[in-house]
Amino acid sequence: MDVAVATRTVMKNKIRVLRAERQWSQAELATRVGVSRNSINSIENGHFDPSLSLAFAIADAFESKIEDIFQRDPPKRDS
Amino acid sequence: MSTRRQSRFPLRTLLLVLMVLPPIAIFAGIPWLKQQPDSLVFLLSGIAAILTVVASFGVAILTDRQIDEWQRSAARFSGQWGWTIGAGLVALLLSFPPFRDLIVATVADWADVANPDQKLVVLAFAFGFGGVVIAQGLSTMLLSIGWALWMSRSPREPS
Repeated sequence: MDVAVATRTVMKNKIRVLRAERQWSQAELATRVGVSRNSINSIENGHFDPSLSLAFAIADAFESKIEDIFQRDPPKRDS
Repeated sequence: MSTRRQSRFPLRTLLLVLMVLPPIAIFAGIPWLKQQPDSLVFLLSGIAAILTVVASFGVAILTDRQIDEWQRSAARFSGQWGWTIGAGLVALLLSFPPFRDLIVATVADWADVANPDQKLVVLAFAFGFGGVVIAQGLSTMLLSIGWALWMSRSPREPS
């Protein structure tokens, strides 16, 4: 996988589901993790991939493993 | 993972004042500056510019420490494209006579010159603008090389 393809890899996540289970708002999760609500919103909607440290922080907040929250979609290759 | 929210208000306020006050003082002092020798005008303008730039760096550093990675990414995007679009806009505007006339009229008013050489003023402005763009380009290249070298350094401890 070359760099260009790797960076186009889209991350899926279960943040919305996990939040709903705990009845947390985006703002509440943001406060728990220590980032802005915009960050959580963009990550949750798949528009922004978090750094490893932020992904760990989110996983810690949900008391889950990173791989249980974030999954990688297959890379999109140019046809 | 936490954004830093320490109380830096006094320092930030001081830096903001240092950033904004010098240009305001220079513009407000134009009538007085017109009566001063050129050397004093250039000296005061230089000090004002240095104060503003240094204070801007300080504000940028403080802000960078308090934002998260999403906000940093947003700032990088808007900064990168904002500078590019702004620079292109100035270059484009320089080709329009009304904008050139405005520059010449403004400079003539500040310098208190009745009939300025339009070509000379526009060229000086263009060279000044070009100089800033070239300096930014060179600085970006050097910092890019420095960043690559810094990030390629040996690990702190063997893994």
